[in-house]
Amino acid sequence: MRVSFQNNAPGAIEFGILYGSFIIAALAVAYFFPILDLAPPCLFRESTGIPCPTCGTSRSLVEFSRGHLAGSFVMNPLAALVILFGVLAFLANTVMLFGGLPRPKFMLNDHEGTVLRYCVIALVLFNWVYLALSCR
Amino acid sequence: MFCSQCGNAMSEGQAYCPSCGMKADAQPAAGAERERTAWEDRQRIGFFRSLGSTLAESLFHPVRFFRRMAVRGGLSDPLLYGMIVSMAGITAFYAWQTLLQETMPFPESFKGAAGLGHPSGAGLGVIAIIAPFAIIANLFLWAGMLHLLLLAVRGSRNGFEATFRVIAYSSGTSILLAVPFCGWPLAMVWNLALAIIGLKEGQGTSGGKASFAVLFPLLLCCAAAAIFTMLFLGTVAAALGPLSHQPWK
Repeated sequence: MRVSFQNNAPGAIEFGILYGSFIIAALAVAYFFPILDLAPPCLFRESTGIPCPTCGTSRSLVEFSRGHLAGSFVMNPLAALVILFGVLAFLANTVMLFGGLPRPKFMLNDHEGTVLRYCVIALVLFNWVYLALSCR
Repeated sequence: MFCSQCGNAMSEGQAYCPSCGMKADAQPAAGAERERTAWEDRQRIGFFRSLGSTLAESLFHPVRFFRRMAVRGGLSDPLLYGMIVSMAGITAFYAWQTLLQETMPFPESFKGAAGLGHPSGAGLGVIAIIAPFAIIANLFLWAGMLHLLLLAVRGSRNGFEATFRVIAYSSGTSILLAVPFCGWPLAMVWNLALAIIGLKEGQGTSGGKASFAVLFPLLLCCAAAAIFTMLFLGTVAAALGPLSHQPWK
């Protein structure tokens, strides 16, 4: 893996700020509105009896919005990690954008890309097993 | 290079794809025959004519449309197109809901939550303010999720911009929300079909990988899609609740 630092081209999308802002907006909505009361039942769980890979995400979001990071991880570890990463990416990208700082660019070769791909799939599966075993 | 039929990696000198056997010279060159959509050429064609032309071609000739659609050129034009058609559909749908009330089939929890049973001109005003932001978020989130799934199966050849453009131009099905009673399920199913076709042609990947990216979240009843829909409706409900003087629970 090679890491380089370079500035974004003018007009390039700031993905960290874009998707980070969605996560922050979701946290704000979760904090101020009773979203759990509006949550539809999980059809996958009702059909199969086991939670789907994203079960507990809304509860994780609510816990995170109230500052209960540990509780957020208990509800759905992967969702909590994604939320945390989104918030950090938003903050980091904002600082880099307004500070005119170069961004880290990660370049992976084919093998590294394949390894990363399998690691992500494994992470999702392990998270799913955790949810199923803990009956989330 | 990658085979446009199955997405398998091919060496430049290979005459046939080692996986599916498609001839190498039958592969479309990257970027060949792709052009701006009518909507992106609206300065020359005219606003309404380009909107109608893009809508008609994307809905009724999707293979041709997405095969010729440019995969570069910025996100603002497709985003604007998606917002316009989605707003039109949502506004018409809300109008039908308030006019027809109990006779329209719609999930009870959403109906009550959004205060849709109470005719409210103010409700339309709230929709007009909140919906654009929700549409933008929905387009980016849906495109982001699909693109991640495409990356997982090595189905992306043309990058995130191509995926976003496909999703934005597929949102033309929102116009079907203007049809009472059967509009919204029809729009949902047609949108999925267009997304699959669009990703296949826009990314130059196989139909299987495109189908996986689109259908996998639905097969697992992905809460992510439900959450963002719920967040949107929750926001609308919270705003409409006091306005409609009707408890949403």
